[in-house]
Amino acid sequence: MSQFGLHHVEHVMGMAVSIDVRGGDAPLSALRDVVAWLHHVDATFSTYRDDSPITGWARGELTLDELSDEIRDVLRLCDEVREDSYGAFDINAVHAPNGTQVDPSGLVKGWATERAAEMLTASGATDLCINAGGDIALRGHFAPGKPWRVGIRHPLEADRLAMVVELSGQVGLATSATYERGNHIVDPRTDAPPSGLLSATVVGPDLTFADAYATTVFVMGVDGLRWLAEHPGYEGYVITDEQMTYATDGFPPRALDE
Amino acid sequence: MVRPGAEGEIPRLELEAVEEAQQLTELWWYVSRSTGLVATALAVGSLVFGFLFSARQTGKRLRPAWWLDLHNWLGGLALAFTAIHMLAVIFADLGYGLVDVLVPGTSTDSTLAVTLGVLGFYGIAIASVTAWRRVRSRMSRAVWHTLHLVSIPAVAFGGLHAYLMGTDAGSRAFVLFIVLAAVAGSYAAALRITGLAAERSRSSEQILNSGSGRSDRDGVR
Amino acid sequence: MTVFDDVMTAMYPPPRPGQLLDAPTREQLDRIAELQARRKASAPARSVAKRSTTTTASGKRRHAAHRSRMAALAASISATGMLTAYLAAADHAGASNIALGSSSLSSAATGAQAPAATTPAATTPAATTPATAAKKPAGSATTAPKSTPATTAKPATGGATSFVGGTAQTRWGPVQVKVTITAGHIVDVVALQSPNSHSRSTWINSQAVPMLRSEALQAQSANINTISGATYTSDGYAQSLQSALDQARAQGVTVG
Repeated sequence: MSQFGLHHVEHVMGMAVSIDVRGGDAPLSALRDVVAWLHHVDATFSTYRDDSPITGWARGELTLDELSDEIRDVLRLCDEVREDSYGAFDINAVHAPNGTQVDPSGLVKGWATERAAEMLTASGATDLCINAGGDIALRGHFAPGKPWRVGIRHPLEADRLAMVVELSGQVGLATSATYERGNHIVDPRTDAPPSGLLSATVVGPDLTFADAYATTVFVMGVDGLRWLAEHPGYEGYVITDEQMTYATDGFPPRALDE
Repeated sequence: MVRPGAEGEIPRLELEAVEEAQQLTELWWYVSRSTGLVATALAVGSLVFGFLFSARQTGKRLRPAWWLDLHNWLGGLALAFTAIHMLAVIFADLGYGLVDVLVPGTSTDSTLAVTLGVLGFYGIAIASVTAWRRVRSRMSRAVWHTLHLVSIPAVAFGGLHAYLMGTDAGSRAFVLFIVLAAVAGSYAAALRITGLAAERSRSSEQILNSGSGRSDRDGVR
Repeated sequence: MTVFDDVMTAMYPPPRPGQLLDAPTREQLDRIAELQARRKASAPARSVAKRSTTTTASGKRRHAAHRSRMAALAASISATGMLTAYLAAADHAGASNIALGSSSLSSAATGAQAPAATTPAATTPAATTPATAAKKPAGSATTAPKSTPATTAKPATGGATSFVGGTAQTRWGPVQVKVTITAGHIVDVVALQSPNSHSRSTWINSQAVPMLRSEALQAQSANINTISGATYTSDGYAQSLQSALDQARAQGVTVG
């Protein structure tokens, strides 16, 4: 492996996925496998495609038994979070681009990225960062002794940051915000986009849940942080439409510039 | 299992449950505030009654037995409301646990104010429990009296706790309330202190206190 | 029952139902009843003087201040209920007056720069007496309702301008903020006055700590490795910061 490790940007699932492997012995084939995996997920779960199994199921053309195990796994995870969140996270409460009301992308993106990170670590990578359209799976360090420094976008100004945090080890970080395109977050109670927050960020050990929880907190508003606080290992940070910021006690403090 | 929602049908789900849970927590928070205020009022009331009773300032029309009974009752009520106050603080999810409200000095948030409240609770508890006939009859009058006097700093601590800690401490009504309580307490205390000398010289001193103590002891043994 | 009672009962047995009594007998019975009632009324008073409780004929202990006790209990409980209801109502009334917190600043920052700079007289009230200022909204088009329109411009070196916003009554309590603007961009927001830590905000934020500081950092100078929430779409990626970071990474430039 070269001094700079592996690096690749793949445009898949309608977004740019940036893969950065900085430490370990992962071969180039591992990177190829990850890219293939992401395209597979896109083909399976895309709600923009008419030929994806998820669209087929949403339209009633496929039964649950005809779906692959991984789709059923994802639907089960979605259901778990739905129950856990009292219905705030609900893949049936969104209007998907394919005209149906099933859109698991609030969890699939994080799930797929987390799996990709697992694939890389299984191939020998120790320090890596996968950024899938703002959902980030991290392992290890940026450089020996240096944690990953992750910026959280300012919700109103695209070229600015609201916060910088330092993270290391196995961490997932996801941000749910009003500026996201294609993220049809609606409050199941009102069928309207939730108001009160400009963005919600969740950090936790598994990006699958960090992603789903970010959506949940975004729907719940500031009070969602109280809900999140009952999930060990997961911490949240929100910016309200009054531009006030709130965070759970354990959210990594703002990293000071060196 | 997840099912595709029918067209146009938005599932109305259990988000209300979250709100209900939060409203319940919020209710506890309001209960903690109101019981705190009521407990303060009761404790001050009991203190005033106690001072006036021992100063023989119970007036001519009211029977001393009634007065003493109400004094004890108010003290017990103050203890009960303080206990509810403490439970409500825990249930209100303010970040205080059982240890914070029971062990003085353990609260990391507003340590002084919380500690004063905890000490006040124990003071009122000591005074109330030892006022109970069965407990009181097992100790000498001197011991009982010393323990009973603990209630005086306890009430002061409670008031200070309310002032330092209270959400409503900034409101005009609260300030008025605490001033009135302080005036009533000081007035009663002054009556008691100035009345002491006169009382000592009085031959009828034993009628109420030791008299009742003796008969109680006889009754128990 | 005393000996006296026994004697009287023997002399004048209680009438059986339906038995007719002559007038003198009835008079005597009434007299006895009256006497007994009087004795009963005076006897407990003496025993109560010794003890705070007494025992009724039924063997049940009765407290000397039984009625007053119940009255005190009822008063305490109803006072608690009424206070709880009042506090909740007062809080929710306050919560409905949500005014814009920091966002009132941005309007102050963009719109009020010139007027504030030309009227430095507006400086002191907002900065020194936020509480009173908040209570009397003065007419000005620059701010949100419930927040004081007075803003302070304090020209500083290097083109940076600081504004002290009026006190905004937010859901969490009064908030007053100072914002620093350089070249049309907010570079710093500092809370001068934050909600009372023991008010409703404590409840709502027992696990969520308000930081009251919306940090608009210059991404270029923030020394970061990756950005969350910044690049959702492929379309936007080319212009994004993440793209710049990736390009630097591809060229082997170590960022961070």
